[in-house]
Amino acid sequence: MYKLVIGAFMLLLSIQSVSAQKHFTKTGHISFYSDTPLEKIEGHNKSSNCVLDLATGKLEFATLVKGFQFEKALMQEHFNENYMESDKFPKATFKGQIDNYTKIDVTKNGKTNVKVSGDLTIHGVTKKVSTDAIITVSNGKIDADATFSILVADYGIDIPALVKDQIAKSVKIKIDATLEPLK
Amino acid sequence: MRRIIPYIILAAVLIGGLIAYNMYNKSHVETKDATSDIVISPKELLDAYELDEAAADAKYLDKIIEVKGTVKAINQVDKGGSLTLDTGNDMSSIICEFETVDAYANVKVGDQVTVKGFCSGKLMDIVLVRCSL
Repeated sequence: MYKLVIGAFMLLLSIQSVSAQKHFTKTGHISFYSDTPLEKIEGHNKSSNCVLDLATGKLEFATLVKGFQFEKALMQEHFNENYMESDKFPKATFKGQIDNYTKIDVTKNGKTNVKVSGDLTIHGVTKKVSTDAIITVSNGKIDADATFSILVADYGIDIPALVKDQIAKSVKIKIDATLEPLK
Repeated sequence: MRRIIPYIILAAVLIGGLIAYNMYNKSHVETKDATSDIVISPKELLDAYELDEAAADAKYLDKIIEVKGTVKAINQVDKGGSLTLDTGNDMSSIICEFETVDAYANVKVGDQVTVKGFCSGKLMDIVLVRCSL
């Protein structure tokens, strides 16, 4: 009998440790920047989802295009209607992994520079991307930071000739997410 | 007559410029002053999304949604933050984003609140943006 109890206890413990392998957030901050001498445009989304599997280094992001907030209402309107077509493509996602992954120790505070690569889907178009990122562990939480640039044209987004000086061909995307253990 | 033509052109250019400037700077629609397009409970909204996401998107995206629910969590991100409303489902809630912390300063976890915001869709949770109480 006691073997059974111990067995059940071990099973419970292993389930616990498996579930603790994933860190996630629902309030990840993703921002994008289009800088030209004529106009600076930035949009922020503060309710992005991110899941990191500590066992494998797999990483996933998802964000709602309509959740991006701009200073000017007109920019937000153009972003949604003319460029991202967010009625047709309401989500942007990233599915990838930390390259050459060695397991992150969440019990030790510290900073690690890593490379992340995977598939980025924007405007219904999926492309491979790769970027440097910083993983910071502090008190059991994991901070994931990255900045990278993409070419708007790669994702099938046309910039009309009329505004080509106001909108950058290459936009910067910034990721800032604080991941907590999935309970 | 000839003399006033340049003035008319100048006036047209000025008015045109002013209209363009106002369009460029047009302000966001504030949910606080706007009437809600749809009043719905958190659970009904989630049910609609779980049943058929595309149909729910067609019905709710960009609309001002008014929901009344219990605050499950409060999160501050930068200058703004969000209230998470309970739907009765542990995995999926309604996340209501506010542009400033002041907008929900008096709210505590467990409070019943009525929130208006623009529906931006569903990831794990349904997200309302530019919310007001």
